[in-house]
Amino acid sequence: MGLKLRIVSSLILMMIGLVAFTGQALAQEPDYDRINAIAKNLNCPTCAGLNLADCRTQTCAQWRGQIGDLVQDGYSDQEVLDFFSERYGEQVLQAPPKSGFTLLLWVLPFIAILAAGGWLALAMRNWANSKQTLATGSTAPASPGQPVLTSSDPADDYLRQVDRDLGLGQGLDQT
Amino acid sequence: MPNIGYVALTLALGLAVYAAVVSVVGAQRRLPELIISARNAAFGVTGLVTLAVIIIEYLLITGHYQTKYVAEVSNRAAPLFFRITALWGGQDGSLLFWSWLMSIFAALVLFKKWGSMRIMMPYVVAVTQITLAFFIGLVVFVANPFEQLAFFPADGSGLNPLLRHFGMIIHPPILYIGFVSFVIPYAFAIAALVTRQSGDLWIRTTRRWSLTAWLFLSLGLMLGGWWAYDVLGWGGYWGWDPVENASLIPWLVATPFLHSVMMHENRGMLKRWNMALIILTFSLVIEGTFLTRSGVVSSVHTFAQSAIGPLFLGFIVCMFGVSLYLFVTRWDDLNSDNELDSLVSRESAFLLNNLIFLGLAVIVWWGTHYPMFSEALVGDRIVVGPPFFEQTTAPLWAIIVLLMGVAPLVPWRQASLKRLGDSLLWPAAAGLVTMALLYIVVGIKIFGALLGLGLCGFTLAVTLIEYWRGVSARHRSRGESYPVALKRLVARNRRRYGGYLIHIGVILVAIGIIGSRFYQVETQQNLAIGESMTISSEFIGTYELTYRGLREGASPDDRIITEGILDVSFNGRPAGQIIPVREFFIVQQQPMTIPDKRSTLADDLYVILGGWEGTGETATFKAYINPLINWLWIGGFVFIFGTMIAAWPNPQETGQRVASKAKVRGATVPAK
Repeated sequence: MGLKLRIVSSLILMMIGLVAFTGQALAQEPDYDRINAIAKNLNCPTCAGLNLADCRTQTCAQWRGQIGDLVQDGYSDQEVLDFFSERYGEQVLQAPPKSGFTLLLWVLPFIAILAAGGWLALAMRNWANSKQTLATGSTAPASPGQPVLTSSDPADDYLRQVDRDLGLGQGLDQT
Repeated sequence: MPNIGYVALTLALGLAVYAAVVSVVGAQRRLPELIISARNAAFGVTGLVTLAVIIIEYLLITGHYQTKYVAEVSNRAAPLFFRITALWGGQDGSLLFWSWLMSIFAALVLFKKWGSMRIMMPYVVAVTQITLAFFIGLVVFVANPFEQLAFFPADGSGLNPLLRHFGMIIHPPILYIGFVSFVIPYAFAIAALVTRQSGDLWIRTTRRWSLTAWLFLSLGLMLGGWWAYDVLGWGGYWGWDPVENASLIPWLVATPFLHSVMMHENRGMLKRWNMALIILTFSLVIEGTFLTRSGVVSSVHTFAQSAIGPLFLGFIVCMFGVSLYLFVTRWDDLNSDNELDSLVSRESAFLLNNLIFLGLAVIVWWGTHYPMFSEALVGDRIVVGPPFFEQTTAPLWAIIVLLMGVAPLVPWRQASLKRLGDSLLWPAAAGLVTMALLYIVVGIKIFGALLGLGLCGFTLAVTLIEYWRGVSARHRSRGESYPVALKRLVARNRRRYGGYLIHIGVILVAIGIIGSRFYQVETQQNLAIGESMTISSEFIGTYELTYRGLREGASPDDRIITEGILDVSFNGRPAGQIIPVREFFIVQQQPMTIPDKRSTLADDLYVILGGWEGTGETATFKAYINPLINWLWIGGFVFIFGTMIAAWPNPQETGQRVASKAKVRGATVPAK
């Protein structure tokens, strides 16, 4: 009982604050912005994917009305969400819980990415090392057939580098 | 008439199967006449499917409502334009449309590449025709658009109201073209595997096809977002809906493919990997189509549930199985020509790019399919909504933007850390200055937004400096004026500078997303006539909206249009009117909430009419401020433009081709 009283009194205080702040009589009107803020965390029960705040169907309007009633009764945001998830199951929540079986949803892809990243890092290291052991003693820095930079103008070097990156193999001369 | 269409499709199915079988037999036994016959059969398939499309269009336009499909997606009130586009307004018709597009691509590639690709071509025919046969088979046996009703309905029920929007009319065909055209690189990859061609011929041959497919896929994604923003009236453009994801996932695999093929072309590396990526891309295209059409995941886009699911699954398994078998048996043919020279190199940057993109693909795929697994394994059918996708992918998107800035500065083979550091200095400074200014002057305090915009500044600086270096090098060494230098630089290295333009597009898109995701403001009010509501963003300013009443708009027969009129003032100055609309479709008993917008480069004021009491004494409006959102669309244009530059045929190449053709035709063709 004490908890509820505290919630109600804090709500009243908040209301007074809001009224004072915006200079509008919010008491008669449902606070749409707060309802929408709560509804954003819930799913539309009929049309998959959309959240309750954005959905324009009749059912969703009724659910938003229900949120309005709960808010009027002094429920906190979290209490409203709990109310809905107890009544309709966890599938009403936009963000699935990060616990139980659903934890797999959140964790598994990252395990996969980390594993792939780790494997890639190892593979790249081996790849690079094997090359170095093979290449020791070789003096040619660039692969044969590629023009060696001769010009002293760094701008020309740059354009040649561009050409070489593109695998064009031609020099600057061709326009 | 409908019977002719059905017979044409049945013949097309037979012919496609014939083409596939005969081309393989011809290639194995080296019988050129069989291969020619297969080619002609493939052209025949295209002709027959085209005939079927013409007939269904005829039925749609003339309003032949005894045909079930026509009755479902069209009605007497529909204007000609919507009658024509109703071809892809429902399951059966859109599958036919899909098959038709694929048959056109199959014919086009035969037409263009027949002469130059003798060895691979029979298998290209086989792969495209088998895929085509599957889709035509679906149309013939499961989703027949020519099915007749036992009675004669007086009128059809009309096109789904959601689809009556220009964006939605062109979004499906564009997306389909993107999807379908990936069959060409896939077919060439498979042909290269079968014929043991380890070179990059298949990649070079299909480079422009892949880029074009990717272009259409990107355009399709963008149009989908634009349509959602323009019509659905929830203030956003991307809802992480399973069907949206189904088109994003192939894009997330095709994008690293387009990057890592450069490793194959330039360095003879990653041959297996590229092969795997294109196989995966096309498999995901088919899987995405399956997801959209089978009803295994619920989505606003889903077509009616049908028997298509199991067939699709069977096809995917076969396709993937055969690809995998070929891939594994050809493993040794695809050895790399070169080793990795250094951990600090363009090669490494590309590998990292591949890792991140595939990571994104894995996350999105997993989140999209999770409800299915969850239901099957523990019986919970949970909904995986935007919060999951946003929280999990955000860090990876940030890494992508960062890589986009670093990778162009890292040379192939081996980079010296010192030189890399030098070239990173200015861009990094630009990024940091961006962040500092945004924090101090603008007042951006959210860390994610600040970091994201800082990365955008960094990468934008890198890309612009790359342009500048190229242009100024030409200016100095050739004395060309700057505009000429820019034009020639891009013309000569279209792939590189087109690619950079795509990067700039991506950065602009990212800026739009960051602005609208982090700083969207919304409010909802119930107003009596003459009353006002305000909405303000600390970065944009304050809008005041004054309700002036409702009026009935010019309504066509099939719907009632109600307009809410609001006077807008911005920071105290009058700024015109904004008129959000509620359309009520009488036949479908379906309301549509069409927003109205006031767009500037800084933001959109986006207002919808939620509802009203009586004749409009009071009405409820929901208003949003979406900061920077228009950069998303501008970035989209830049992105598409860049892709077109990169994919445009080389004038030299085409010139040579024309010249050689003229030669072949001989002396009878006088030279110009």
